[in-house]
Amino acid sequence: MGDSSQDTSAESEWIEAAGPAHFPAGLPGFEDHKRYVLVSRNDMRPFIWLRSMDDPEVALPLISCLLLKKQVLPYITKEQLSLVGSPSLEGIAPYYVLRVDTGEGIITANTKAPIIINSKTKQGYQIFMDQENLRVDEPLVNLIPSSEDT
Amino acid sequence: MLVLTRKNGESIRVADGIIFTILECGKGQVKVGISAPAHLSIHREEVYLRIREENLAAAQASSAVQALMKGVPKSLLKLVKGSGHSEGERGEPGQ
Repeated sequence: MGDSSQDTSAESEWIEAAGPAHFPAGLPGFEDHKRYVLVSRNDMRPFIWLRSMDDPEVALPLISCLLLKKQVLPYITKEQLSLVGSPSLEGIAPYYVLRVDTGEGIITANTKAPIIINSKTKQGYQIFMDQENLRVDEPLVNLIPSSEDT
Repeated sequence: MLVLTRKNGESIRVADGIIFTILECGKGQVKVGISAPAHLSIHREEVYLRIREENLAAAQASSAVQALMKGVPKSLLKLVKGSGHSEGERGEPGQ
């Protein structure tokens, strides 16, 4: 992860947010990368990174869906849950993959293909949602709950 | 590429446990049923390619963590500070 910052304070120290997770199918674009770990930095909240243990240079920025509007949990099917070895939503952590346009500074979230991780089995999968209202490039600003939502 | 001709209701078997069945054809499209082991991911090609493109772009963006923080809406930062949510928080049924 190519953070060029020379800040060595505890705030900018990468820490594991969760233990290693196995992605049996890899991720689209990184099909050969099967093992990942969630890492975070205190000064980067609420973002976390899904870092490949097969190549630490590969890391995808994520945000917990639970912080945002357009919850995907109710739409996750039993078949999708079975991909991470779970019969129910209990223990399932859902995340959106983020993309940042460094020129415009716009962050978008891929609500069409959230990543789910089963905290019990430590298995992960990027699932595809059929819902028409979900997009691969939803502006993050559109997903932030208003004060009435919280 | 192997090319096979099939009629409605007929199938094609690929290795163990993978079966494609023609359910309906006509009007310029074909409806295909696919039976395969659960660990195999099956997607429409164009959707898979779009997700792949997004993941590759997201991974490139991960090298620009400072840019990411500059782009984050302030309202989200306030929300996080006030919510007590942690990054690894688990979802519960019905949320």
